[in-house]
Amino acid sequence: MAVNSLLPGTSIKAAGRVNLFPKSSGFRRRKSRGSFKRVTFEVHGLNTLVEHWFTVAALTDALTPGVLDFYADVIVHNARQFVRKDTWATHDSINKGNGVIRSAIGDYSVWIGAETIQARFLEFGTVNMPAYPFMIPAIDMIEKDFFRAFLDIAKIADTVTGRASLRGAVGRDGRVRSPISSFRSGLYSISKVLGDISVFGGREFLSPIRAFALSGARLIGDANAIMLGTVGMRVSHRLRGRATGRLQGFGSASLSFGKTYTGSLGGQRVYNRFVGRISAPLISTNIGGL
Amino acid sequence: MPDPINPNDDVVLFDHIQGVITALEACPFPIGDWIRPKNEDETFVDPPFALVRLFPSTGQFAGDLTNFQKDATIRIQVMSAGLIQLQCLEIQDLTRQQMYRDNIVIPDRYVQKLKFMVSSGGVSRDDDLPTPLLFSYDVYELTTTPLTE
Repeated sequence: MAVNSLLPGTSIKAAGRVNLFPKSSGFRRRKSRGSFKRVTFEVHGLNTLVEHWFTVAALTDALTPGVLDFYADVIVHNARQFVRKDTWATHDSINKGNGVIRSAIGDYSVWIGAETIQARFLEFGTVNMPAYPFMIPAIDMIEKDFFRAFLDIAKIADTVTGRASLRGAVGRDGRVRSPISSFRSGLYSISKVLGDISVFGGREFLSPIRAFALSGARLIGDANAIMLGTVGMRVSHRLRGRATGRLQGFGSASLSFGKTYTGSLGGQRVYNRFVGRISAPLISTNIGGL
Repeated sequence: MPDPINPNDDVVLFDHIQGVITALEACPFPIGDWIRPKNEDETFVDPPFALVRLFPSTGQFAGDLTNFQKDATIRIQVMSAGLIQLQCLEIQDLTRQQMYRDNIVIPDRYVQKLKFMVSSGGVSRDDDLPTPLLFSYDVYELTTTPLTE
């Protein structure tokens, strides 16, 4: 934890708001160079996804003040143990201010510190007296537990809501599962076909559409993997696809290997045709663990 | 450097402080080790001067400091004193120019990180001295690791 301000008073802050759509992510709009002027996609089940993230935000928002208040008490307790007790004035003046405060932009903060004049000299010393710090060690002691508490909140928000596992529930929800899966498979097949055409024709006139389809499939695939809790598997698949695409010298570097070339007979046939084989089965190796 | 009390032990803590003091000795004013620097007749020098102290902290040590096999993270405080506020701030500037990782040499150890941790929020004045002075302080975090296994 960075100690930003000085005695008297050191504040700890935690964000209480989850930005659902940060500016850094998202598609970069570009002009279409092909014949497609407008493409419309329908994504079903997005409301369930949004509800999930609103649940995460609400849970974090509800639990953050309590966590901050608890650790403020712990810091006050530890600082009172550490402070030098010559007159007990600084000991008695250590407090947590007005408690947990919510700012206008939704941040929670709590002020913790001592209010005597000599508190600053005790904390940092003078040229004639060494330091007897009490606030910085008190914050050091709770640092690991403090961040672990917020990690636990994130885990709770990700896994448990009510009696069911939220992570699995969203992933298994038919409103989310089937439309996204089918949409993703369609995108992959489209990109596969377009990739073949561009290779055959010798020119990449369809590459913008193909790139858009691929990036969309990748994005949805990542979202699906996160919801199902199979991020590691997803990473492994993406690594495999990338390595295979580069080795063979065709197709996109981010094609999913298993889905594209071993998922169906047609894909296997296309692959074998490209590598010059007729019907030899492909033995896949697992790169990247799992 | 061997410990004067236990000559068989290797004292790492002293080397760390000495490395910082050696780096600061490039400054054109005396550097004190824990107490104010003294003249040859054992009287305290007048400002300007700087003062290096080990800052007490908890939970910052990965293992015993006398153990060469472990990393050490210690906090070091550099205080600067001047006759007027401007002089105090200038002394602080000069010490900050020397407090870089490359300037600190510690025998048998590699300096991983020298982090500026916290600074005083202004200059304090001390009138209860024969020569009144103004001082401020910086706290650094120094992380080192042994060079040899």
